[in-house]
Amino acid sequence: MTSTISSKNKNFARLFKWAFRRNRTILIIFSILMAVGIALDLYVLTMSSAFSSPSTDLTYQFGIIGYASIIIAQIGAIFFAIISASHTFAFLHNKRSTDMFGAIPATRSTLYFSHLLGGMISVMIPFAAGSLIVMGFTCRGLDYLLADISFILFGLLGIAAVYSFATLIAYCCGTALDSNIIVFVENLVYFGAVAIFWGMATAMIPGCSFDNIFNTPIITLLSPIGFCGFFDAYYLDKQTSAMWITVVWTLIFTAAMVLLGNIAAKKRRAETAQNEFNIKWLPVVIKVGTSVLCGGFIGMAAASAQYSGFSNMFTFCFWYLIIGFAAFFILHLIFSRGMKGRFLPSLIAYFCTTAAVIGFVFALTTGLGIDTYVPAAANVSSVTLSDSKLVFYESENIETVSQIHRLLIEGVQKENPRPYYLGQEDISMVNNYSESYEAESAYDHFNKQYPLINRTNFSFHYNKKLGFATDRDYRISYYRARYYNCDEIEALLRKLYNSEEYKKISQRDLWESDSARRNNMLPTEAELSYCTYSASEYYGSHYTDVTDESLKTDEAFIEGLYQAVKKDILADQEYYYKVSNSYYDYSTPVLGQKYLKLSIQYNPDDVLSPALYDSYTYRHITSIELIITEDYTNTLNYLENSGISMTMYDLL
Amino acid sequence: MLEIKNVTKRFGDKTALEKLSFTVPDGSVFGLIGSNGSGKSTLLRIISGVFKPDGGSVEIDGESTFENPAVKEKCFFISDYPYFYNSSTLDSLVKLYRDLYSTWNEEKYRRLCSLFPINPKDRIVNMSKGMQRQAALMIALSVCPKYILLDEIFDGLDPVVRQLIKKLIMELVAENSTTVMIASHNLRELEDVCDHVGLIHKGGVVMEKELDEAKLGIHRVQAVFENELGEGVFNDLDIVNIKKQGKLMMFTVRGDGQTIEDTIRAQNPVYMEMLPLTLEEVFISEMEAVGYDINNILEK
Repeated sequence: MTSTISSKNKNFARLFKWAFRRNRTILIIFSILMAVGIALDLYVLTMSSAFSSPSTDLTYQFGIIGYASIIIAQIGAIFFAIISASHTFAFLHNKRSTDMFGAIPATRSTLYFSHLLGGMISVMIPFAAGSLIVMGFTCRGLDYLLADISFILFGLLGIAAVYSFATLIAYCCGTALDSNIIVFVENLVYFGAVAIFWGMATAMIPGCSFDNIFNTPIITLLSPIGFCGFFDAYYLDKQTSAMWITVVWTLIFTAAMVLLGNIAAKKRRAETAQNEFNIKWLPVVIKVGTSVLCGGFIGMAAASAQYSGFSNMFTFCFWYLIIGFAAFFILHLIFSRGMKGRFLPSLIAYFCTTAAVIGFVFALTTGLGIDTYVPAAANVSSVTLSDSKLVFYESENIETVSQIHRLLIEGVQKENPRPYYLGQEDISMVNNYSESYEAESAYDHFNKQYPLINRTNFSFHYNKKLGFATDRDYRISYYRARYYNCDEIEALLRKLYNSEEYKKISQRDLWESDSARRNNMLPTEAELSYCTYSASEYYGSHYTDVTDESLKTDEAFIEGLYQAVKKDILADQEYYYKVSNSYYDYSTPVLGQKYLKLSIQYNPDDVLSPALYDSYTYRHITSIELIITEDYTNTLNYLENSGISMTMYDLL
Repeated sequence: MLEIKNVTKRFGDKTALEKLSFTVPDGSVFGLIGSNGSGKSTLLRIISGVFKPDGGSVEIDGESTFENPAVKEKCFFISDYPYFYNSSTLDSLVKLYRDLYSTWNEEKYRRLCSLFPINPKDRIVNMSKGMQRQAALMIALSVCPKYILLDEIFDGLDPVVRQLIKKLIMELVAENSTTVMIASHNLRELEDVCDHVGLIHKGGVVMEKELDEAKLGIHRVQAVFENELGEGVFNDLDIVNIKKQGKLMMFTVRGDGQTIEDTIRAQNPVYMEMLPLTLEEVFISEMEAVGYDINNILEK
């Protein structure tokens, strides 16, 4: 027994060495490409004008190089993993090599695991080594070390998933061509089918958002090629729940692929080399999956080209059947090298899947509960309303958002009741009026009457306590329902925008006392301008621009100014009425209101500095604008006491 | 001992081997002969553990060969078209096989390198078919296996190398008591080395005997008769084939040589001679008995 185990281990080690040596060329090529890629990254970035600026933060620049290099390396690693798997297990697809490897004194499991590990490691080594080197000279400190290491680990996990998947497929196929086709087609088919049917749900069901899909691991559930990308995206986007779900699923997926691969290795019939598929249902799955993808895509495109209606469903079904069957038949000819092969069983599977797909599409007309679902506020940890990245954590505000959502759904249901169909919706307000100028006038009046509804994009993102997220987007479908519950919705929005939480969110710079921007970067100048809008017309305005170069810009002055403004904002009972104090929020000024616009400018040479990067808007800011009204007495007094007269602006 | 017990193998609808059974004695050189598509190569692949039989079993020293590394280490299989990676040299292959087979004999390998005109550093795929076979055989002989399975080993080899290989095989048998199983259509060469033959046709065994016994059991007789022979004069003989050219008659007859001679002489031939059959002639005769002969093929 001991000698058997010892002999097995020795054979494993020998075959592992053999397989690793066989992949030497791939290892060398990948290493060279990584080195070239990193050098190219360095060259391109160092040639940029931002890099050559004397005030550019070099650490930050190198950080970008680091991220970009590792992500590019991940893409290369996935590509090489597929090539290596195909190369390492090519012996399965040739009768002669099958004879050689079948006759050597090793079990099929030993052969499988030794080659799997030998090949996989030959891709992992250059990826990890190259990434560590990049990390070494682009390191921005311990704070970023975790991020860099995470990207490398994500890459290694992605390689393992793709490699084990490609190996399983290699064992299931008779030829390398079939194996490679299936690896790529399966990823594409799964990804595409999920995207198409999710897109269909988005097109049919009010509120359903296509962005949802990228917040869940569903998009990569069976597409291992995409694993790395989504880890990185979730990590950068701080979607830790989705990231961990994807990590755990990838580990489970990889383990399942390795286990199934071992079973396939033991059960594989050696005579299938250069011949047929070893697992007869595999080509059936690919044929049916591809037919679903192609038929679904064309069917949806054809139906969506018309205005929504029941007839669109038949348009979808017609084109789905035509295109889907054509794709199915073509793949059958390719896999079976003609008409022979298991055509009838494939056909039965195709028709069963077609019936299921059409049934699903008709089920979508009911909304599937998506159209009316609003998460209970008690189960929600935070909610984002609109796409301005304003996130509410307080339970009262979460409840307010939920109420807005429910009122919105009520209006949408009245305007666009079930059943829902594929096709374009006529969302233009123009269609509600016989003359276009009437529509424009009505639109204008509505926006003045409900300014908060006008400035709010109705997209909701609920982060639930269990770690999952729910997204709804009514930007399109709401337009037709905009006359329902407007007074209630406007009132709730006012309550929301007057909350203390909103005030703090909208002027983040004032509240983030440990902000890099506040602590590390000194504003270079402050600019005052005085604006007013006349009462007679909306677009007419008097705008007096006063620049006072004597404004103090030292740290103590700015800090004092921030503190004064903070007090005034918190005391402001009708905060939403003012032009927003956020530079990224474009709001309608209150007619007849006088206000002072205080602009704090940062050095434009520091434009790429991380201190000026706002991760909420993905932009570098160059200035902060503060809107000061007559009510902002603390601020006005502070300016007056600092030697800047406010009386000349009729504000004090 | 190599035992093949009721082995069946199917490829889709086609049955390559149907309940095949025979035993290969230890230390013998067994010639596996048969018609095209009879299942010779399939049988060798089953014995070496490449294919799994759909029925029955192959046992070496009482253990099944499939998925059994301990048993497979006793065997070495050279297929009809040995496989080499594009970058393979003899040296690189030796590294693999030296590690996998504990019976590897380095001294023997060095000796074989001096006998065969192959540069160990040259890429094998660039060599001729015959030299590729020589390379495969060098490795096989260096492994010193207990069982060596050769599929069409003489194909592509010049007569001198063929003689060399036959000599080396006999040396292997003599030194290591290796059991050799050779599948080949080159019956002339097999005849020189084999002591046992097995003839298979359409997946079944037609004949399995010692070579001498196979030859002794069938005879060719040439005889000239002055007068016409009556009907049924040779009914007592197991005649495989009769050909007549004028007065010259040629018989292929199974049975005891003396009995056959006596029976024919009883008809007073003017001339009579008993000629030894080659293995090829034995093959043709036996195949004719099962309906596999040129006349049947042409009639189709």
